[in-house]
Amino acid sequence: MNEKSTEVQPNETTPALPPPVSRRKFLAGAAACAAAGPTLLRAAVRPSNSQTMLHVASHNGKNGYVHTYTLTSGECKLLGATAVDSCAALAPHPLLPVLYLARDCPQWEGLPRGVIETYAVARGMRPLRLLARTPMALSATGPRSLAVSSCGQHLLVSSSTGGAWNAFALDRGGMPVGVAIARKETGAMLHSHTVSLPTPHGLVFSPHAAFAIGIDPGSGRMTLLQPSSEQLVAPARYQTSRGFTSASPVWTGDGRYVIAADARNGASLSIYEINFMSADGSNADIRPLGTTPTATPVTTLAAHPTHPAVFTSRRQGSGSRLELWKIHGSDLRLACDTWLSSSVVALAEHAGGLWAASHDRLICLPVEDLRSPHAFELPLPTRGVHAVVAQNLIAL
Amino acid sequence: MDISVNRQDPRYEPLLRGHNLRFPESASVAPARIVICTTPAEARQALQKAVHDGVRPTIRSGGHCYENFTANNPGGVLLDLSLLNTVDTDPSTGEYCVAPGAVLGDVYQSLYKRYGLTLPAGSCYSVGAGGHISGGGYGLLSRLHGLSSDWLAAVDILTVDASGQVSERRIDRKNDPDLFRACCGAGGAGFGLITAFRFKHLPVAPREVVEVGLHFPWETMTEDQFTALLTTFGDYWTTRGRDRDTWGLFALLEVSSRQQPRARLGLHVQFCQPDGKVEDLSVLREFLATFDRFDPILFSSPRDEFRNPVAKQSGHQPASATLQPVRIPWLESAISDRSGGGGARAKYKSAYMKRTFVPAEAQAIYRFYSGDSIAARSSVVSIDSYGGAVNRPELAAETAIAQRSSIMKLQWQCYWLDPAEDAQHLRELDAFYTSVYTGAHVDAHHQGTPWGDAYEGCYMNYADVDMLRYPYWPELFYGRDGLYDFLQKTKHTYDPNNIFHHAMSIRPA
Repeated sequence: MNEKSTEVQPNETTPALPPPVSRRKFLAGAAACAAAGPTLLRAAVRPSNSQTMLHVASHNGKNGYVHTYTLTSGECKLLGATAVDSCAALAPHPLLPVLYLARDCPQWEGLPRGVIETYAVARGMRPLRLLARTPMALSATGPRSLAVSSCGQHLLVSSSTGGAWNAFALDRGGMPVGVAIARKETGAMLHSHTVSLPTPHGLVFSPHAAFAIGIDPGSGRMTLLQPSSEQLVAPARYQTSRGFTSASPVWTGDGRYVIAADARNGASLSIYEINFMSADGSNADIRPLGTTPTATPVTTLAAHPTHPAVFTSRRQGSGSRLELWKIHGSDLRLACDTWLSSSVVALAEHAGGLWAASHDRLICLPVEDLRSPHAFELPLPTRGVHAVVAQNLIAL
Repeated sequence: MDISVNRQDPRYEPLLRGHNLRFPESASVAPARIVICTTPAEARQALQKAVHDGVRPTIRSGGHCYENFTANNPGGVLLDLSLLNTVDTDPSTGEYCVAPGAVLGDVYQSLYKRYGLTLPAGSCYSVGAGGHISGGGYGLLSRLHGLSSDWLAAVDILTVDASGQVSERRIDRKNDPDLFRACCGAGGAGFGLITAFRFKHLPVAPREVVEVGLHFPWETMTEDQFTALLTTFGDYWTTRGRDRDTWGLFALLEVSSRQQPRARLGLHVQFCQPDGKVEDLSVLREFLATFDRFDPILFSSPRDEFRNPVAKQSGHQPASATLQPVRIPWLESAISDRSGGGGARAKYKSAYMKRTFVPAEAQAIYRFYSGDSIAARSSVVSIDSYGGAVNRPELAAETAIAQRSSIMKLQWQCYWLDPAEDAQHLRELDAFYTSVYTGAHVDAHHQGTPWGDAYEGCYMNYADVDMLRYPYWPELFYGRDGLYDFLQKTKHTYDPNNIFHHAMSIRPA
């Protein structure tokens, strides 16, 4: 595998961003990412001396890259590109200039398992510097999602073809320590007489605690995961007959609800309430609240920064319909929507802007009103975009 | 109720150790707990809990696994079957039942003393039946009676279905025949947890055997003489050794460093007639005579090698002519090796040979053991006679042992104590092994491995993760006639969630 950054081209900037609705209106959180398909991000606190980085993963059929952009007021600038083979998922550390990447290699050092790469992020021409490669657990192949806890102490990755979740403890420098702790899943009976094998996929951490929700389209299970340095327990599970798409779910900013896209019985979104009956989380449950039909299947979701609400994207005609849904009791109600001429593959919310990535461009819209004129549209230097993450770097 | 031992239990560290002290490599890769199962019901309960908890189960019987397949299990559970060790008969079926935790020495004693029978299995007393038999165990009686797995009539096994439920199965040629076939040679804890091996028939144990040792003058042997010695040894098994009257003859040619104070180049032989008697030693004498020209010293018993050597031939009398056979009760011979090879750090390799040695192979071995490398001083190559009753071609389709044409089986063994020497030992032994299979005698695309018309690859019970670097490693261990594809399909059927896996288990299709 070659890691290299391309030279930053002079004057390679984009038109200035319009000022956000409120520069001061930011939320703390972690940014997560998804594999090919939907991308889930949430806004991060941005101190005034911080800078936003955007990492865009793409694969054009031959080569894979991560293009890193820096976003400062008025400017979106390409810093450089890092060649990465088989990048399946990205996730930034919520507090440190560290980026994690899951590589979907059939084997690593002769054994069947994926590998997690840890990169240092910097503002220079080589924005990503490889720090470590950490193998996933034996037989944990096919990573699809990565998520980092808001405390920055836990990294979770889904192993889709390996049928497992893997957890890594992170040290104070953001480096994975020890070895992967695996939780092996088994199949479930979604329909009579048929047991479907597990394919763990989407992951999202709670904004307030080191608990994560993992969804498994294969078995139709939603699992509450609690990682520690020694084990990965599942205090609660829910089996749904509606199934799940491969889109990572969102956890609302108030920490109460998880919203996921359903796979069966037409197109719909479902709300789940996550209840913790004990302080340590060992006694918890997942309760379905309601299901809201959508016109076409939702392909990607992103949490609203302030309200218990979710942005979604779904295919419509030759483009995509972006929608904002707010939780109202046990339902979701459509609050706002707009149509984009591009097929959106990933959504990210950051600093008051909703970033929608299609295969070859990024579009930024104001969070407060999707129908406002586009903030800007950024052509990407490569096609085949499949994941986008945003990250704050504290200016030194 | 099963016995659960966690990290805080004082029994944890001792019970974690197998015979190869390299594993687990560190505390971070060790299992979170060890569960000792004394009955099949306890094994089922422990397995179900592991699956329910989402942790990986690994299984240990005797603890002789050559690689890290059992002890390397970070956060998982090690199911210890050492107390699941009965040897008895099932009154309802009359079958002889061997539990996986029974060690071979106890199996031999029990079968012999109770029934006058035996199982053609390995020579090491403390090897557990579980991994040995399911991996196609072999030993000193295998030329006469085949592999231990060739005698299986049925297997009791716990499997985990797609929904994560543990099932108890009694499998045989009619009930789950594919899984039964897989357990006859490719079991290796890759399909389920075996709780009993069942045999309808077992061979009658020999009454007596004769043991002989030949000690060759290694210190003064030239490369050409050494090559001639190896080719002579191999020639015998390629020709005369195929005759049925020789199948009671087992020989092991052991090569180690010439630089050691007690440099060893020896031949250990056990013989009985096919009927289990030792009245006619003509086959033995004929075999020994083929080595007379190498000027060996003959020992009436390999165990008396250094105490009662027969006087070196006087005058022009060849060593074989001085043979004074010592008849040993077979059981005494069978349970004599209690060394087990444990208590050290170790690495092993293997190869099957279908023909005698070519000069390039012999030269590579000679030169390595003439050198002074650390691995040369701490290793040995054992060249075992093979074939005979093992080489029944029809068994390749009935079992999961593809190697049914070989006449010799080689085992590389390297032992050391200092963890700081791990990398050097592993590197040097691997380089040595690779050198033996590098040259015009090996197919250009398979250099460094015993692959080709002259070989039948490697033996999975002598597991070697170095072979994983070759993309055709499944062919090395399972042949080229579709066995691996069959095993993958069987794996998908009976272990669809890949609950049972290790570094060299059958990969999901």
